Amino acid sequence: MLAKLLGYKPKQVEELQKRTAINRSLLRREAEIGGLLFGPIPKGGRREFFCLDKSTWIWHEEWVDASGKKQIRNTRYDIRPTGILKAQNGQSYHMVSLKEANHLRMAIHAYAQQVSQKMYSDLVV
Amino acid sequence: MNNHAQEHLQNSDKLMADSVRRDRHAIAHEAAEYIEAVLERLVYTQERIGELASVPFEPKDYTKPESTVTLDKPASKPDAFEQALIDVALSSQNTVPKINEDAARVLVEQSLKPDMIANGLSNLEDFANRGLADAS
Repeated sequence: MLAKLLGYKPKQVEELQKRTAINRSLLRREAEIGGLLFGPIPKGGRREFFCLDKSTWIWHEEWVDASGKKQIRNTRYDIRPTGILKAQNGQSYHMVSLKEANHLRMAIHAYAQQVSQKMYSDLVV
Repeated sequence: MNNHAQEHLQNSDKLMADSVRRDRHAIAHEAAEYIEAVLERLVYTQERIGELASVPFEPKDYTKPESTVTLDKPASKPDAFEQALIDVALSSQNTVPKINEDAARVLVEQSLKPDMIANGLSNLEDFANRGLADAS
């Protein structure tokens, strides 16, 4: 709709929609692979970890607590040149500790390695 | 749609899909490089803060000189050679008048004649002076 409003031609709009759909599909697959980096997912839970763009990472976690209630936590990491910011469930940002930043770093490296191997190994670099 | 057109469309879709995949692949690697650079800087900063915090604060007293130079050397006893020079100097000071006195006495004794003794000793000084004049 926005593309049409901006004056894109129908063919361009179609291409844009295709690209968006492919991108979404790839993100979904990357998120699954990313979710497995932190070990097995507890029964009844769901975990996704993915790279939105170069400096933004999303961690989505669903689990069932002791009382049987479903819990959801969305964590967003924003990597800035001066530090790493974290916001959970839409709350305000705060700077992460160096320890947590190191854990995130390890997760990101594992993520890059895993998605390269499992999704993009056929691409000629 | 004929086979050729369908094949072209499939190729086109494949190219597009690969293009998007390539972008995603690049983003994952750029993200890994980016956090590496950011963390390197953060660790360095934390280490520097730690280093600076570990240095005790000791305000410098600029009213004091950097070092104290002692100009007055501790007194030391003269060695044998120095002592000899000192002795010579002191003895010559003492002997100069003594030499003069001796010379004067010798001259006076030589000048004293029995006839002069008879004239009394009141003009002894005149004799002595005359004797000194003769000796020079």
